[in-house]
Amino acid sequence: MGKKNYGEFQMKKYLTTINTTNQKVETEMLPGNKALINGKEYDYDVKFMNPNVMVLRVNGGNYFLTCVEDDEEMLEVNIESDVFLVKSKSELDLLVEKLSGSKGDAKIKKEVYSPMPGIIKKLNVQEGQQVSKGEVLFVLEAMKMENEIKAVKDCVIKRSTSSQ
Amino acid sequence: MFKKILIANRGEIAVRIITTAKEMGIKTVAIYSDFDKYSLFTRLADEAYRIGEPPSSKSYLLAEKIIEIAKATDSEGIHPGYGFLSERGFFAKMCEDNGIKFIGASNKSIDLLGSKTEAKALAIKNNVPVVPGTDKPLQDFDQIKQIANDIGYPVLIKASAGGGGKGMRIVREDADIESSLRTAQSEAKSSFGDDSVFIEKYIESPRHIEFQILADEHGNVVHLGERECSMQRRHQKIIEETPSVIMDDKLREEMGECAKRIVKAAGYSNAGTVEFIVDKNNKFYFLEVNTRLQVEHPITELRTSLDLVKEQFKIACGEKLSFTQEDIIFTGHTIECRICAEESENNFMPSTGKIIYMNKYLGNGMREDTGIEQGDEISVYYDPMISKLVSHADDRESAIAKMKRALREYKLIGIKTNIPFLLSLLETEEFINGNYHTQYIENEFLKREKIKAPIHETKLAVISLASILFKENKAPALKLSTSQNGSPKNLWAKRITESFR
Repeated sequence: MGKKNYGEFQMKKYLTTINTTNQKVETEMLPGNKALINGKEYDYDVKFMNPNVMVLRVNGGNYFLTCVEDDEEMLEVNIESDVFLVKSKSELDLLVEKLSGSKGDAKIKKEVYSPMPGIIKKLNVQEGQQVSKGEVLFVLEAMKMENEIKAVKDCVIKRSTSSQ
Repeated sequence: MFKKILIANRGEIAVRIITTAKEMGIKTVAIYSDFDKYSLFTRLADEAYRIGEPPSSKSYLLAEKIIEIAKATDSEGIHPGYGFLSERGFFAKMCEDNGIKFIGASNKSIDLLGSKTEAKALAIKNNVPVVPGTDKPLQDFDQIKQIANDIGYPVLIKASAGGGGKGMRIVREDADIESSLRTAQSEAKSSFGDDSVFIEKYIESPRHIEFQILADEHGNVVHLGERECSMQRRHQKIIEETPSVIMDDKLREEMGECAKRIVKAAGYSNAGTVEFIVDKNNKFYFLEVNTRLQVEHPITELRTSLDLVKEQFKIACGEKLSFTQEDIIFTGHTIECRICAEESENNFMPSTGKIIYMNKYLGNGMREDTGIEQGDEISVYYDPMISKLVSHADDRESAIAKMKRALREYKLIGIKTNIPFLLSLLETEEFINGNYHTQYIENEFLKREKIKAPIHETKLAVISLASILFKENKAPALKLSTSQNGSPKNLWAKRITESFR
């Protein structure tokens, strides 16, 4: 099928975590378009329509699916409009993680982002102002709807980078 | 018939209007904002002219400029589509004053029916049942609060000139009325330039059922049956179907006659929609009249084999309806799903970005109305609807099956869509039984805990293989930017031109 020689996967082992259902899968890629998945052998064939879209045949079963990586490097696999969040790690990835002692995704978000792209319709607060939880900070208009964005905790407005 | 018309709209509805015009031998003029310069609708039209910058207030709402272009291009008529200027009486008047036919209702009936209070008074006068509430638009805060207390909570605040859920708030207790009123009025002011609201008793868990009507300039009115539009979230319709599961011939005739009575009393001509809410005992109340083509009109077209845009053109040219109520034949069952750019699982946040890949297979019995193609961008400027998928089959069960199949075969990369959400709605017991209402999604469906069943062996193998093959093939692959960062990454945009156009 594909022009690429998937024989290069020889003896490569992977651990795949499916976040959506909290399942783990062990896969060993074998030569000749075969794979050992959770102890069972499968034949497969793959054609990439583009880097994010593939036709995958597994033991004759037909799957036309899309894969998109998000910012957290999770892979969103879409089969027949059913979406699964997935991450596959090779043996090497797992070894590197173990040696560096980190999981690589321990980033803690301190910033509060706007919940959606939009236009600031009304700004209710000024720099230096004390606001309490639930108070309306600004009104965001996105796709024709107005949304009041409220403070998530008691705080002081340090800086406001937007004007109405 | 018209020789040439201008379409004062964009996206799927502009496409919809242009196609019928072309079939009738009418030349079409599109207007576009900078954002839409090469969009599908501009290419389908015979002529296309720039109207302004992307925000609609600087483009599609510029009435004077639109009239100017219509005159310069010798357009004999203007079709306003839905939204934008479609329900603005002053625009219909401006067209008339400039010798251009407004393909819609007269400015008088737009103003009369567009004002909810006047429409309500008209309904009462013509023996059409209405929900208890105020009959005058209000602006004064204390007065509104007093009336809310008199009617008793829950109450509904609605912008006098509103529509589509904008400027609309449900208030369940005295404590919330102040903030609800403030946002409703602010939305009303910015969307319609009018902050007057009215207030009424809120009917718990009603159905939203509307009747499509056609009225010519000679006083002939027919109804084309109902549309069940109760699958809503925040007053935005998501799934529509016809016939409604609760409808029988007697109720249909009763409601249909009410719908006809009210538009007739308004001296209305054009296609139009009379909206009702229906309570648990199938008691119905008049809600409002939409004096324009509706988003969900295709389900009526498929069930009646009529082209509503064609009928609008004929009515606007002074022709009489070529059929009577008895001539209308309803066949089968039709369902519409609105595919929107949003993250349903993340509080329905709008999802913006470029559609880098699109693949679908509609097949027998499916219709799609869309103005979006692969390579197009979904922006914050306009509404998030990407496509309207409509299925038509002999019975409801088959129509649902067709819809589900088509949704499963609809692939889109670059933005998130509500397709999984639509599919899960179609699979609920409530939808299958037709036992749903306008509060169903918010009060029942979304409150349920969603547990995804474990994936069985083969699918698990497929997902795992897909993920590994993607990873090993990754070098040129694209990354999805989440909506938090606003627009897609430049890198991504660059690659689209390289690999997809």
